[in-house]
Amino acid sequence: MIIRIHYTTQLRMALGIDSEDFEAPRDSTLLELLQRLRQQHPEALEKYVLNARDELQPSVLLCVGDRHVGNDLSGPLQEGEEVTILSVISGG
Amino acid sequence: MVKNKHPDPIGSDLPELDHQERATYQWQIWVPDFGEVGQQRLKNASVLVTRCGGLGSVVAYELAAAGVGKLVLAHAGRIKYSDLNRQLLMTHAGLGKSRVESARRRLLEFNPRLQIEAIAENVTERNAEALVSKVDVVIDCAPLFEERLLLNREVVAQQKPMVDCAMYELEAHLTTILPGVSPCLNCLYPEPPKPWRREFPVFGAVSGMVGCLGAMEAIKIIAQFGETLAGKLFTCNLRDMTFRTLSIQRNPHCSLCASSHP
Repeated sequence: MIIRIHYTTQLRMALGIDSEDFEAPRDSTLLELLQRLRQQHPEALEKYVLNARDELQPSVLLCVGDRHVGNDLSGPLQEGEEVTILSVISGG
Repeated sequence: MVKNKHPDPIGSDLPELDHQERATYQWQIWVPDFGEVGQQRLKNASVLVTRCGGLGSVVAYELAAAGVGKLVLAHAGRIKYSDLNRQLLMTHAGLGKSRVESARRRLLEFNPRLQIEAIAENVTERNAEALVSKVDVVIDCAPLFEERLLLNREVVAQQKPMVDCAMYELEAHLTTILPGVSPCLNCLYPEPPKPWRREFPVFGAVSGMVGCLGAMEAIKIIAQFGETLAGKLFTCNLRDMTFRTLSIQRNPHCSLCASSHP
């Protein structure tokens, strides 16, 4: 199935892309999707999203559609869903 | 009335408006659901803005324009050239001089009725509790996550609303924290991000946009009308004009706010 991934702020800058369509096996969970993304973009994903121990970085927010999913990465994704990876930002 | 229920930060003993104030604010008094009572509520309100940089300058300017009664400004340091692409309360003539004094002077030129308490300090462990205790509403415009998390801790402890403004490059985030109603910052990120750099790319037009939005959130909270961003995160990317409003969840095990939710 195809999942559209949206990248924001520092992660978008590190990857040099705003979004991509990613092929994932049917019924993949969010964790499995992130693990596959980490294989494709190891340095940036590990730094900003999912560390080598499969723990979310504390400053990342994940949304499926327009819904923040917190730390629960176990839900299966559906064909055509969109995942947004938000790195928190500040001011100045 | 405001849709996100929260204890009224202002109360019901409201000051009268004088002739000049009615004339000055006439166009916003015409706004449905705001009216003269909304203006009286702004006059009775106090707001902490920290800091007064690219975001906070515009937040403070818009609140001064709207007729908020008192601003507490917290911002250390002296004006540098690199402030002047976005910090609209700073001037070339003020280079090397106190930022917060420049902010105070510019705001009083615009609205001489405004009460301002200008504090030449950033938020620290030592002053966070006292700063938050001075006001009805907090607007977080700080560049350091340590400051943001300190403010968050204090607004949760003191049960005060906080508007959280953020920007990076051509992107912006905005949310409103109503303790006991919405997620707090600690629900979203319990510790500062490790790779964050204090200095980052941004245009003044981006910080100005989110500053205006943050000021409007505060006006809605104070005047108790409209719908705030409590429980929602507004995001935008001005590079391609993408605007989204995401639902955000509180953490039921949040070490700060879990006990304050029903």
